[in-house]
Amino acid sequence: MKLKIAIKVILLSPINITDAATGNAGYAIYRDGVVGTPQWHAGLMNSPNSSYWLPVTHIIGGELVSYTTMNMFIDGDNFKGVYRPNQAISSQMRDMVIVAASRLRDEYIPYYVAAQINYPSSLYGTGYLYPEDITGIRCDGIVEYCYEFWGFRIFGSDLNWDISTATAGNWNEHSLWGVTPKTQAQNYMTLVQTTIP
Amino acid sequence: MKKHIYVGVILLLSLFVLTGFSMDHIRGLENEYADMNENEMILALSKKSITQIFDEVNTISSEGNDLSSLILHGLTIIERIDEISNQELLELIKNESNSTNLRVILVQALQQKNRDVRVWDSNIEFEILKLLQNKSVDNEIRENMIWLLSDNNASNLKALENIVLNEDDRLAFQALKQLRFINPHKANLLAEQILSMYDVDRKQTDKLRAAIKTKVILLRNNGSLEDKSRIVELCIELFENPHIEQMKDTAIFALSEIKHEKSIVYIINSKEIENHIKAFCIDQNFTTLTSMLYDNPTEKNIETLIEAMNIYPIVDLIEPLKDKINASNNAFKISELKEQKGYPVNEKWLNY
Repeated sequence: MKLKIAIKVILLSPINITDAATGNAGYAIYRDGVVGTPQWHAGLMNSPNSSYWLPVTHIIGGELVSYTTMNMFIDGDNFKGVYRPNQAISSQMRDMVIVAASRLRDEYIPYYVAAQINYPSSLYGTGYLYPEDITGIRCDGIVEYCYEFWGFRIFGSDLNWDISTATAGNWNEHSLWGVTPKTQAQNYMTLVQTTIP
Repeated sequence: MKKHIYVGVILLLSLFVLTGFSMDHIRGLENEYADMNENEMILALSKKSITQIFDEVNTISSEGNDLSSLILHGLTIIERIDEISNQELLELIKNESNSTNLRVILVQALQQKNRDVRVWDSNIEFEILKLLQNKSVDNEIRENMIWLLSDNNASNLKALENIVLNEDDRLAFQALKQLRFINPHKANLLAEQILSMYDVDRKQTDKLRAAIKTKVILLRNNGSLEDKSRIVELCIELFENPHIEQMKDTAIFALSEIKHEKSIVYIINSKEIENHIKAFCIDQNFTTLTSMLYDNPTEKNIETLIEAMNIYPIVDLIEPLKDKINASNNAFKISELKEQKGYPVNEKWLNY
């Protein structure tokens, strides 16, 4: 019985690459929206391609940050592409991005609609934001946080682009209409491929 | 009997009419937004009254769509939330005929509208607490309401404590986190209580994960070596004997985040932890490894540092490590340090 549990536990963690990210691991992916709206949904590849088990890290309304299958991610909508930060990113840094996303998943963070990430305003001016400080996150917030924590700028002004810095200006910039999953991909990232990885 | 049949038929017809109306309404919205780009949809939403947007959220939600399908609607509502008073917002949140999606948006709107408010008006706080403690309210709504309690007063603390000890793990997780922000002492006591329960029942739960995380954060920079060691031992035990899916990840991250010599040595030497996770932990423990190198450069520690730098070379550690190896005059029987390109440490870990 114990052996069965152990096997289950090991298998439930996505099997990943051993050394440095290959394929599309560590890149962002997007699909289009629901009820005919032009809105997109974002996720992060934690594995090189869809043949791996639970290769996507994402969050949807009512859920927590989680691993999912490519089919569940696309959810009957249209795949819009694989994207990476505009600045070149090494395999080693893509690994760091993947682990950052796993760390967000471990934190049981629920969905938040008003901004890419949420945290208590009492943290303003205290320095950097770590996963344990985040109290809510949107799908594009996972992408934004995991890249920017490792220094890869996605959206934001020269002063406030790093979402993992806790300031009022930074929070404001990443809230409301500042950025949406669609504008994040189309305006602030580089398209890698349009086909499903 | 006939009367009952008539009533049944009328109810059934009403249901068909209402469902049909709702479906027509959804298809109408689909048609309305179908050819719009995001900016056009935002503009269209801005021209509608806020109650019209509430209706649309309820309609779209009635087909089972989750909140992530409603980002543009949610943002429009939150942007215009000053049109509604706190009291009116609470009435809308209480209204069970509204969808869970709308009620969650409104809770988040209430939080944003009062982002810098620490102390609520007493009537508002009473209503918030009443809703939060009402178990018939959807947990998704209550989970969001936890973040409205940013004041460290007795009734808030009591409500959060009750959730931590007596409610569903997911709610308890958020409540313990909120307590860590507003009253770390209380959070510590509750985390200890959960760890004590584990000592007795040996049940691995998400609540136990939340308690471990709380302890790690509170001990990381202020804890005694003894207290840290106790948590390290527990995390090693949980990592090696996980009963729930998430426990291994929690244990590894906790071992890394507590920044203890013993735990980073364990991570680096583990055959079960993949290299990309080790790399993350090595970077996170730059200061721990630096201290091992300068303050306690034993043969074992040097060996650990070589192993660490062979997995993830950090530029600021490689050269001093080479110096220590050279200065040892082969006194240590140590492995070879690979020649490879180093990475700068992520400066965000320096004051972590």
